[in-house]
Amino acid sequence: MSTDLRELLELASDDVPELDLAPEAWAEARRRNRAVVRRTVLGVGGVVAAGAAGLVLRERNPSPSPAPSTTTTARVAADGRLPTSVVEGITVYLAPEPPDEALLPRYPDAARLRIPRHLGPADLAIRAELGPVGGVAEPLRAVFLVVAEGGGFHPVLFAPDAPFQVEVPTVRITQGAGRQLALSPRSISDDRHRVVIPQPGSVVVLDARDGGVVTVDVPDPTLSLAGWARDRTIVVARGRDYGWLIDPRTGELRKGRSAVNPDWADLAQGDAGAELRTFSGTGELTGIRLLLGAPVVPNSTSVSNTEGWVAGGAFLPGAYQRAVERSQGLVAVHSDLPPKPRVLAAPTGPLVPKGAYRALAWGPRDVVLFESRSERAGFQGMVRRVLAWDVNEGLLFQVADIDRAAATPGEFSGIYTL
Amino acid sequence: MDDARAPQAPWPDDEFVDYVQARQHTLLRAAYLVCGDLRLAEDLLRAALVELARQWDRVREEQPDLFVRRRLYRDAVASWRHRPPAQLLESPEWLEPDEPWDADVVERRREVLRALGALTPRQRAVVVLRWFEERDEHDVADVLGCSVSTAHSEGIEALGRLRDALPRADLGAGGVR
Repeated sequence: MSTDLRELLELASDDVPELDLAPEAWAEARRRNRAVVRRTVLGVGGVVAAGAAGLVLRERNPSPSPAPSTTTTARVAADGRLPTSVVEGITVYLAPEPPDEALLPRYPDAARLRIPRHLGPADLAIRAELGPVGGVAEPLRAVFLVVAEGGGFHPVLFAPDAPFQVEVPTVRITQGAGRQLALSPRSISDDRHRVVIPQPGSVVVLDARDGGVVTVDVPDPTLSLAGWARDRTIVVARGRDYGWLIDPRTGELRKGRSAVNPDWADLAQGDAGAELRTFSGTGELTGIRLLLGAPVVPNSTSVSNTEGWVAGGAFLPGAYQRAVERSQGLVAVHSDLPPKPRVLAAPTGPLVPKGAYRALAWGPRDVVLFESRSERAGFQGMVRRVLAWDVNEGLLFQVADIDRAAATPGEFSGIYTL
Repeated sequence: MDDARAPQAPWPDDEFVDYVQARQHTLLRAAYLVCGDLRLAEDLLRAALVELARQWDRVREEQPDLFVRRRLYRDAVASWRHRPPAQLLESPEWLEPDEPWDADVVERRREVLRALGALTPRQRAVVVLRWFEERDEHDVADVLGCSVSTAHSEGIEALGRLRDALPRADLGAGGVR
């Protein structure tokens, strides 16, 4: 059966709210007509006739550009405090609409994060290539992938204390057909000097200090995530069906017997619902607990910290949608306590894509850094921001704007990790 | 003498209210599809309805539909001229959930909006008039102030671009009225 274009246009606009503009339009028309009469009388009286005529002209021939909308007001508290709701015992923090994110307060301890206001490799003036004389001695804060000439991606290393961002053209990462390449939240090692990047059939380990590269073959063409285990030596990689434990020093490779993860804990969807899973220092599964409260559906990579917190993106079905009319967000759970999540619910609307929130890393204290994606209104492209959610205080801050992504060689691919 | 004679009464004319209430939601959706910004669409529709109210005595017996659409669509197309070029790119990272999810509808909606965003503003206006409001090419030409042949050719080109942008949809001759 063919799809009717009208149905698609109906779908694209079916969430436009119903408004009654008739009384407002009538009142405004009446006000303007009265203003025209008053100004005309002034003109006849000879008082500032030219100016009045100009006013009347402008009044009767208004610019096509409309006046600023008065329909929306900012809903962001100066201290970043969010409105809350309780859904079946779960506290849900209601995040602001995408345009209001720019009004959030700056993260107060931003200097400690070492993340600049604008994050990305777009500024070519501060980008250099890794040369034969050495690499980046300073600790890395982020790694970006830029589009390589002829296909694939090159890493760009960002260390706040280094004078340049350093592109590594000798490393070319390929992307499997139909698979989306991603940099895991644990792509950068805990010592902040080594980077692991997956590609179909291998993982690439780059030492930023000297530019040394080790490639370890992995018999899995579907590899899409790789990160450093907490023991600082093992690389944990995941494909579509299997997990792999890799020692890049020796090239030793082992298939995980069950779920694997480089982090202390993650959130995943199991047969009985959302689970909090814990892992050993070498990335092997050590425990599973079901989350309490209204069900959530984890949908993207989690991040955990040594204090026991784990956070990740999630869908919010059923009870959440009925109670707060929001369907996705970020979920944080403490692994040492009964696994009852705290939820940051993303707004709903045409500007908010599926999977809008993605956990990036934990910051100081109980603050999780995450990416918020949204569309600019008016077909103006994608906006990506790093926001910080204090899961204890329920505060939300802005941290950085992410450079725009592009598909041309040398440009930022949109893939990065902190 | 100013031709904006209405409205004098402080309360809205019943006929005006009936007229606006019967059409405003469709017009708001149409404006949104053309300009892609709900707040802007509201402002454009509000401005068009204010003009309609000002001219109501004169227009009510004639062609209020044409009057309001001319203002709305032309302003929606013109509003685009003041904007910076857009990049329509997206983060490549996304892990699909294991189970069906009603957010697929949201994603489908965004696909359609993205496809519309790749058209020129006037092509969007033609598409919305022809296939959302189901107006014929003569009406499209009247509203947009162009020739019928231009309305026709813009529609054909827009349809081709939508087919390319929405490969999952069948926008063949059978799917388009």
